[in-house]
Amino acid sequence: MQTPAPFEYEHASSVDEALALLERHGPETRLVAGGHSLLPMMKLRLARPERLVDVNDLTDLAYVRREGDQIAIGALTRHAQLASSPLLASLYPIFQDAERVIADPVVRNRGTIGGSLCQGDPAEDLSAVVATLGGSLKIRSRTGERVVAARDFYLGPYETQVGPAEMVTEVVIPIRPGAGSAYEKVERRPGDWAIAAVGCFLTVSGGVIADCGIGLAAVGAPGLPALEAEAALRGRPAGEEAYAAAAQMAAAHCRPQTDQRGPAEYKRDLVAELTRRALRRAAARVMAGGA
Amino acid sequence: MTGPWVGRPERRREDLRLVAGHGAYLDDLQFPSCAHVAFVRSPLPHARVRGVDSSAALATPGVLAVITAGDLPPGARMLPLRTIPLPPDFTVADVPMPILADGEVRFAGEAVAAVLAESRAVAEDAVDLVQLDLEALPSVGDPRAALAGGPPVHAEVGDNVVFRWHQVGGDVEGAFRAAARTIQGRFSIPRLQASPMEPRGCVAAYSSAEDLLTLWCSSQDPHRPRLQLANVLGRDLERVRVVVPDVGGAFGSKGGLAPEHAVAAVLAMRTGRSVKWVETRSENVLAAYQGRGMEVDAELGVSEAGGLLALRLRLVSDAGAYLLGHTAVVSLTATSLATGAYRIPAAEVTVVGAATNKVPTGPYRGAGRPEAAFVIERMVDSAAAELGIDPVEIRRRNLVPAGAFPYRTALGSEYDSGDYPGLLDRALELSNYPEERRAQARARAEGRLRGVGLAVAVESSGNSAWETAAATILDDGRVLLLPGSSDHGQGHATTFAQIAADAMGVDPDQIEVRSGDSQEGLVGVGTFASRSVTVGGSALLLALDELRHRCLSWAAHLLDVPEEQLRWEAGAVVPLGGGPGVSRQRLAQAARDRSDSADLPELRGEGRFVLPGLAFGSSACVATLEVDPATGWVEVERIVTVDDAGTVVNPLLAEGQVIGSSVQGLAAVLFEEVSHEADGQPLTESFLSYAVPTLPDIRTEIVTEFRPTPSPLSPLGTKGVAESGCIGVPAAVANALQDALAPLGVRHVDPPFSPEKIWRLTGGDAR
Ligand SMILES: Cc1cc2nc3c(=O)[nH]c(=O)nc-3n(C[C@H](O)[C@H](O)[C@H](O)COP(=O)(O)OP(=O)(O)OC[C@H]3O[C@@H](n4cnc5c(N)ncnc54)[C@H](O)[C@@H]3O)c2cc1C
Repeated sequence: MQTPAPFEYEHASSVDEALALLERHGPETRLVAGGHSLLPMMKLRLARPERLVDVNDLTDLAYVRREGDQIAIGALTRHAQLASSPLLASLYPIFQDAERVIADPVVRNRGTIGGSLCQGDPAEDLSAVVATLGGSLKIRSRTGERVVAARDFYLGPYETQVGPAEMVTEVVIPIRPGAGSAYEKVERRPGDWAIAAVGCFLTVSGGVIADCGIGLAAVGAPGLPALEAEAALRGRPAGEEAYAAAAQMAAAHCRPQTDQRGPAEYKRDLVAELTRRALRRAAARVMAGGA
Repeated sequence: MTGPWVGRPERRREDLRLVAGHGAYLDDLQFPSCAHVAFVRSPLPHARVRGVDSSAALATPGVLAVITAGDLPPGARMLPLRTIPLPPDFTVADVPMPILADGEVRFAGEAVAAVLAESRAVAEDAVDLVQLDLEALPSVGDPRAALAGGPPVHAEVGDNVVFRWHQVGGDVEGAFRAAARTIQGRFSIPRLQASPMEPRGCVAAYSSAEDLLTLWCSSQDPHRPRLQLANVLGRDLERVRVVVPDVGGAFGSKGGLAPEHAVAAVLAMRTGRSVKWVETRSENVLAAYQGRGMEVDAELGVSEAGGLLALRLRLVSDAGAYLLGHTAVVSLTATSLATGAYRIPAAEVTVVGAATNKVPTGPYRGAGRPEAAFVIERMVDSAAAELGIDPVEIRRRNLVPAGAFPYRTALGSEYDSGDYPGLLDRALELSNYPEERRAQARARAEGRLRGVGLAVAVESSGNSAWETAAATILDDGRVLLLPGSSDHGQGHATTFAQIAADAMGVDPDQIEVRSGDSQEGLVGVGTFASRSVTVGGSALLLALDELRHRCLSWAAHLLDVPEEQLRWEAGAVVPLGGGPGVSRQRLAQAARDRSDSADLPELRGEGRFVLPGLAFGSSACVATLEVDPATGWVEVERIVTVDDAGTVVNPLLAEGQVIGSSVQGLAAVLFEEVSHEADGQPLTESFLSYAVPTLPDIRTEIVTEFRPTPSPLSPLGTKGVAESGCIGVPAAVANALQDALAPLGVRHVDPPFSPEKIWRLTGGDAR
């Protein structure tokens, strides 16, 4: 199949209009951003929304900017913009690490951070990145705005906190001066969905890990944080011993499934190895001056 | 033959047009009142079709017809089976592929019904509404299981053997008895899909006024689809025209009439509408014939000193649910190259075609050559390892020497020319092999897994030994070439122009190349088996000889002098004794007007060249890689390949072929594998699950060089080159991987070398 089942199409010229359309037409209406997750599913007729509301005209939602001690990323920001943002490159190179291995240039030119996070695919790389960094999402409805932590955003695979008449408008990431971050992914071929991937950040003070975050992709819920591993790292001297301990905990914590990308025990072993590597790389970046 | 133009790295003339988006591929062709066909395909690998309920589909506005097998003309139910000659003792079961499944489906993806509608979208909506009543039957996906008592794919072929052949040469028994050791090997070469960028498609249109059926199709040539369509529909060849527009790649997978083409043709004749079918990627993955799929048991008898004495192979080909005309040919080619580049005095091959409940197999770039090279090159390395001989040394000792050509192998192939030891030496030099070995030693000392692998491969080319060409002169003086084989990425407009420029003494921009329409030029064969330049280029030379000859006759008439006093020089006819000559424009105009010259022949040359045998290209390849045991990732760092393609008409295009096919070779061992459940249900249904690498995915450095020995079989001295990389590279990479894993005692890995498989082999699951 290459043609979706019949559907209605409208495009919104403001967030308010998009929300009004969602509310008017009910739950069988879906937003379409880059369309790189939604349209393939519609073409395969795995998704059959009755109506699409195109939000690609909302160009004022495409930005990466510093707002005080936070980075604000508009929901319509494309992968390619994330990959080339100097702000992200200097504060959180984890974004570039991840973007380099997400799909291909065609997908990266269209796909958005809002779509990536709202898709809720357990293998989605940006979900893991935002969860790693303890980011949050601004969700708007006609009646107001709420802010949900990325780590509470997912109810399960392909299920998020976003209600049928709501829309994510912004992703917010706290800035941590001096932090190092990194993303490690193993795929069958570069640009493919992850077999397993691990993101992390570290701040180190006097040789001791002050703060950290670890997020996993493709081995459980979308953007799965490795909470025990994070707890074990905080307050410990940065170094191989700490990383090895965290690696074991992250591996024990994840919930991989056997599928075409490999058996569960392989993915679990990868999580351990990738956690180690990501922590090493993030620590090296701390030493190099926080980038 | 090397002239001022042959041998030059001319840029491809076709690129500007294609890259600027001015190409016209099948789906770009627009037809008035075009209807669209889409197919209802079986979700089950084996089932009885109890009924097809198309009432809801027919009730959909815009739907024109829904047809099943029973609606096809009685003669037009099956694709032709015998399209390519096989040896007389090659037995083939009578299991041709139905155009639409008739009563029984035998693979998931087989077309059961066709829906014709006013638009592709409506056709797809209606496909969704057709209800198939299927009764599942037992099925089998694995070829070895199919032969070991698996459920019959065809009731009338109880043992699932759909073809069988046995080829033997030399005293095989005696040689094995005399051998100091017998090396054993078992190989599983997975199915691959060709994945052309443009999937298959066609437009069929019927003119009742002319009683002419025209099929535009994305195909490797117009000739085979035309013959097969005429055959299927029982029409005179003259009443069928096939036109091949720009083609976005084929790699062997568009080498004939697809069943869907025949359905489109039937619907066009029934409705009087032009009928378009452009398949989706999902359809291509499910229903286009696939390549490789070979299970091989091998025995190699060796002397203590490392002499190769005898080879015995059992090739089980995963034929799939039906036999296409060229399904069995792949095994034939693999057999003919089983002894590779080596002097092995005795050899025996048993070929068994296994029916499975999967889409049929056929040629995919290499088509039997990579399978043969993979097996013999792995076996030679195993022998070297068991005997404690260096892999270079065992090859030097056994390669067919440069002085031995023409060389007849034990299995009956006659290698025309080559210098295999010379290729190997140059590849070792170019790769700085001793340094590679030192780097490996250093890596091993640090506990890293690094490997270096070799392969020497032979590429038979020029199959189906004849080809045609015609040439004429256009009014503006340019020379028009009508080669029998057509282009689908090879660069014919460039290379044929270079050949013709030399033959005619003109610049290539004075040459126009046109092909793909069965109503222009002569009936030809087509582009496959790396044959176009060697066979087609030679036919072109013959055609141009005749054309020049006729130019002299016309000039003699125009100047009123005897032909003997004229000669062809720098693109025109000139008198031997000097004075004004006759330009090509003048010749063309005179021949067109032919006012007072009724007895002179048309200003046109035709050539038909028969290659007296096969031309064997060859290559030597060195691969270097490193394995990351923690993740299982195999990083192939470098491929060095030295190729003997005979005379190289255009080094730039030849290198492009080597690099392109090397990348496909890398993909074949690193990423790609069509996989199925045990019952034949496909697991790889899209590019999400079938991993085709794209440009950024190939980080390997590829170093190429040519070292030609011209073929004595054709005036150009060319040999095939288009398949070399996908033949030698997988074998070299497999040997390098084996070499890297040797410290762990790993004895064998089947491709693809996926991270998970390598992780397991390096002990990941025991950690
Ligand atoms: C070939 C290919 C390879 C890929 N490989 C990778 C990979 O390796 N790693 C990876 O992480 N991803 C990968 N992707 C996924 C890609 O990153 C996502 O498809 C894409 O970025 C999702 O964003 P989008 O804007 O296209 O979302 P859309 O497809 O437009 O939308 C996805 C979902 O989110 C909803 N949505 C969109 N925007 C909003 C919003 N602002 N508020 C609320 N809901 C919203 C839509 O309604 C829909 O349900 C791949 C995709 C393709 C096609």
